[in-house]
Amino acid sequence: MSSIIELKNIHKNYVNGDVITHVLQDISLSVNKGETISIMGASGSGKSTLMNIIGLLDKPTEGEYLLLGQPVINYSDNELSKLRNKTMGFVFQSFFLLPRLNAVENVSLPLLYRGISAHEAKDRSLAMLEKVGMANRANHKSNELSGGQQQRVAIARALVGQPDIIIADEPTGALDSKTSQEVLDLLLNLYSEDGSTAIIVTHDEGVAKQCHRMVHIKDGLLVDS
Amino acid sequence: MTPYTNMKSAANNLFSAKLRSLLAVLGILIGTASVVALVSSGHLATQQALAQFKSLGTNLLSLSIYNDYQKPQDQAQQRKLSLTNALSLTQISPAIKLAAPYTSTYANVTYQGQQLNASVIGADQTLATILNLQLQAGRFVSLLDHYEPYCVIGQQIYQQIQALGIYKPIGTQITIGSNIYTIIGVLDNSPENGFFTYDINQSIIIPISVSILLSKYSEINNVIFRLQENANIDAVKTALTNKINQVAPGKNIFIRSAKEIIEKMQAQQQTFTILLGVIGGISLLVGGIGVMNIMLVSVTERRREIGIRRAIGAKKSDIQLLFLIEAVILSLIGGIGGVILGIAASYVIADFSHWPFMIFVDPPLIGFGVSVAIGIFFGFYPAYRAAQLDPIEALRTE
Repeated sequence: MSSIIELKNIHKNYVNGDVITHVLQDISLSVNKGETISIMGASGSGKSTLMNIIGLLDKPTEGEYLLLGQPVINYSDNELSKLRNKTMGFVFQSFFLLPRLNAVENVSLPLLYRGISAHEAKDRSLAMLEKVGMANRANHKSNELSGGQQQRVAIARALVGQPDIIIADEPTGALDSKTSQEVLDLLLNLYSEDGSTAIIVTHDEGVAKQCHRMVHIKDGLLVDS
Repeated sequence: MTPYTNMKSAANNLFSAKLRSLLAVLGILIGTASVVALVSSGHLATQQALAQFKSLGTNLLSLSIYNDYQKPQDQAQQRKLSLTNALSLTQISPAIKLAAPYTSTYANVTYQGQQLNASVIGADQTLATILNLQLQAGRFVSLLDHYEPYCVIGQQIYQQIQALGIYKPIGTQITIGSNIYTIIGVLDNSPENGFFTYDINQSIIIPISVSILLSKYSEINNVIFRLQENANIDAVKTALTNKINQVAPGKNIFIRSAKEIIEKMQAQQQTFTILLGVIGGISLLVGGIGVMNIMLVSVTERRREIGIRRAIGAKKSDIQLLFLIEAVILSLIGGIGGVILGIAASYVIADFSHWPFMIFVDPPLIGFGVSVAIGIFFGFYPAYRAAQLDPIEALRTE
């Protein structure tokens, strides 16, 4: 299996006056295609920063990052935006749907930023909503949907562009346990169908266990398990 | 993002913050309206002022002669301009087509014991030709009337007489000073014109030969000339000055040409219109600052949305465009509304001032163009701020 994400000796420091905070220290991690990984750690452990670096939202202070075999550390903001759009699908704890848009419009967004026509984007988004069982709510806005429904729409938005990697930040953190399992099943089933790679940041041991691999992070250091 | 989806998204956002968008639009609208209304009114005023000079053609020249009280020692040598000399002024240059000398006196005017409010002008039929005076009834006074005590009355005088119950004044008598004159004609209402110093509607015209005899101070103070088209005005002015100095020495001479007055007025009005435009522009500027303010609030409120869009793959330029389009839509709507309101306001102003109304092309174009430019200018900074937001920070916003 080829490695899709290759982090080598990643450091992330924040400088605040004279104080240097080492958020990530010497992190090396490789993720293979089709592999699902859970990142676990207490709050403040640096797992969010790691997730942001993997998701191309943040840049490490030091280290090397090969995404699909390409070194991306020196990419420009524009190139990173394009790369995020094509390769990454984000799922957030609080869903983060745009409140003024309805479900199908939310799902369409990544396609629109890719330059796909509104018409085609809508067709593909409706098909994706169908897959997550939300086709009958396509014209509802987020405030008309329950938490589980919103997360389904958010998953549809993350997957509609057929990204190489799904990055989920506490995807079940705001849901009750029954809904959590439904959402997780959905994620895992859709992964395996599409053969996507997934990185799930979670507190929940139960969620983590359903992934191929568990990674612990503590005080900025990776503790393999 | 295609332009269409961007526009749709911007319109969607603006519509969901109705009151705020309305306030921003209102600022631009009022600004644009004031530019359009002020500049249009400036144009209308210019047209109106120029019409007073243009109505009789641009080839008019007026000559005023008056005593120079600064030089009393010369008074002994001063001579009045005689009627014969005044009439022969047509001969001094082929460029002069007509010459209409006239006198003016203030005299007590009564009709059937009732005092009338009137200026008394001594003139001949050439004045009627040059000023294009139309008769409602009777005829105008003529050089052939010599010393006959005849007079022609202006429209306002006629109305004053009508108020006394006389509807056919021709043949009736009117007392001017100590003499009694017979009314031989009634003038139609004639439009105001800037070239003849008196309101012809408020005047009584008597034969010029008669007027000269009225007192020792009576004299020909004014001559109006009609020149050939494309006459060399400066040459005519020089010839006239020389001639007057010769036949009526010791007098001050003042010559005005319609063409020069019109050119000077146009230049003045242009400055005035620019000034009005700038004043209007200030309120547009204030409107622009309003747009900026509201866009900045919108950026702050939508930080998380910006973060989400960035995570999904929006480039900085996409975010910039999203907010810029919103600002431009606001000012576009304000601009269109302002142009309509401004034209309506200039219509009201014209109606109120009794000016003929017309729509000019440039004030709406300027008003509209400037409002959109202001939208882009003041929308740019908030949009730039939105684009520069760190996506992680933006996502963390509660």
